[in-house]
Amino acid sequence: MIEKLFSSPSYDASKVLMDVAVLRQEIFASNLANLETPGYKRLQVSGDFTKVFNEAMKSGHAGKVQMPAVSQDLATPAQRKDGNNVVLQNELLAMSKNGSEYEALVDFVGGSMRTLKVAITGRSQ
Amino acid sequence: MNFLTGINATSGALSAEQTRMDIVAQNIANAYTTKDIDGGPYKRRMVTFESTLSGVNKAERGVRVGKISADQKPGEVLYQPGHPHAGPDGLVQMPNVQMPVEMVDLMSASRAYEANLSVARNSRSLALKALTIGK
Repeated sequence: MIEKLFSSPSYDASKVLMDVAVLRQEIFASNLANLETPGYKRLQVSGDFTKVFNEAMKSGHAGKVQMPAVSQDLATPAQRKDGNNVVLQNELLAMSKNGSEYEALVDFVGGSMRTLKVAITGRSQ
Repeated sequence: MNFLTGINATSGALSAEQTRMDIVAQNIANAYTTKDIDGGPYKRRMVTFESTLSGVNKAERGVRVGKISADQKPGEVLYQPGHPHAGPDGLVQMPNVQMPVEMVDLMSASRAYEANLSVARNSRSLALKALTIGK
């Protein structure tokens, strides 16, 4: 029972997703720190991580998904003369979305732990 | 990995923006200083930012103040023969500080400062949320 709880595909998947959410938070911190740095190109998680992850999820190997690499976003055009392509609002919005996702994942992981506790103690508190 | 994600980048940015605001304050304070330490009129200072690799992780890119340099653009010249710093022709070189430029700079620095503060708040709430696992 315990092995199953800690090696279930969704538990493994949420571990990977939490790591990615932390990586994203680090990226937002860097992008917003460099809001005024001339020539800075915003960082991003490279490739289509969602697609890779969804496919791994379907085949049941979501826990083995590699952490995505970080790359510079050269596709977004700079809206300022200094070549910096960070847009404050976009970063803040993406950051709050990422934060909510992280909280949902923490709730899920915490929930499975609580279930286990109930099974052990036989009490819900 | 830090307990507070990206805190190196954020703290670097906060201190860099703080420096920028200090320099704006210095420029405004010296808007009418006709005699700087080098003898000439005060020249407004400009802050340049450089991005740094702050952590072991490639995703963490910090920022620091690169150089504080003087703006060499000439300032206004006023005809004030009685001024103690006037030349023999009665002209006084004024500093090249322009209030609107400084105020805009101040606003964008404080906006960037607030953005970084909200990153710090967000990182903190993520860390606190992670502590609730198992409770």
